[in-house]
Amino acid sequence: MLKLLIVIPAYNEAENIEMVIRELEETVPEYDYVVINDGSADRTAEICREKGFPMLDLPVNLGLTGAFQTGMRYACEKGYDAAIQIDADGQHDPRYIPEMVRVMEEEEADLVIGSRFKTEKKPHTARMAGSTLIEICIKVTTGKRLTDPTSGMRLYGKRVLKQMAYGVNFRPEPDTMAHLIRSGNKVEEIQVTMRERTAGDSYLTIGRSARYMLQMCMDILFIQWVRKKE
Amino acid sequence: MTTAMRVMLIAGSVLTALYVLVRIRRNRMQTENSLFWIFFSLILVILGIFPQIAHWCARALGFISTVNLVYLVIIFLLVVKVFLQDQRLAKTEAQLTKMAQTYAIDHKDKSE
Repeated sequence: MLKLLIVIPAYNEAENIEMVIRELEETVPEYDYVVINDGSADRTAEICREKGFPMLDLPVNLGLTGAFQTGMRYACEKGYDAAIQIDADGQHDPRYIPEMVRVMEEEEADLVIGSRFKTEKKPHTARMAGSTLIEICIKVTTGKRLTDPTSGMRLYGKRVLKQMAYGVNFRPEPDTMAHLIRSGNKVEEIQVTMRERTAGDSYLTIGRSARYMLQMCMDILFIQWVRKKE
Repeated sequence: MTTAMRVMLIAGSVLTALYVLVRIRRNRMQTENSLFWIFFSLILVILGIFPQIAHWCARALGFISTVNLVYLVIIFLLVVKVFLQDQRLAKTEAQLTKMAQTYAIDHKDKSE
């Protein structure tokens, strides 16, 4: 069986974390998990300690990329074969994890993405227009269609795990997905349903979203060509 | 703008952009940080290739010499960069302080 680590980056998720972990323990008790507390200002760390959830407690806030990388590094150093990112706000349903693992094993994929729009239609909202724009950029530069490039529910196999953990420009973002495809990694998607976050605020504001979009499109359309395929 | 000035603008910007791209290729630079320098170079290259833009703006804004406007643009962009960097530095210092404190406190707990 694939030795899988579930990585849960958490920043100020005191309201959600216990419910998310309980659900994870019930749904996929066969897999190890670790919470990466990203210097939360609320009780996220205390809750994890009280309830005995395995946690890496970052003393300062590193941001999603830094927290995610911490989890990937931990997976590498503890000898895991694969790692999956699950958000601590409860929007990712752990029921899909076994299927993602199965696809990874059967298709010998290096990366499996939980997509909201593989078989479902994308709704017409501003956020989804951004998603479509990134999808087009990736399609144009790699030839591969990723139906949900911004999905955070991604399963990384052994080949990409090390890069995600130690690489300089391997953020858990769509530009990295494009780079991984171009470097010859096999990427698969499965259809998933995501839930609205139940409590707390989303990280993305309008200003941040615009900057994010600009950065992603620039990286995928231009910077990607100078990056070495590894 | 004199031809010499234009050549300098274009050459300087192209070299800057190339250097940034080489650093990305060698994994020495984060793509996030490269965006500013690439746009910076792009603006200066455009001003070098199409001096009419700078001429037109200079006249509209009442500058006596076009080159002064170019300097002003460069200074403005650099001031913005310094300001942003200052903010980042302050954040990094605060983080480092907190990290060192956490390390010291945890270390004491361990040795007790």
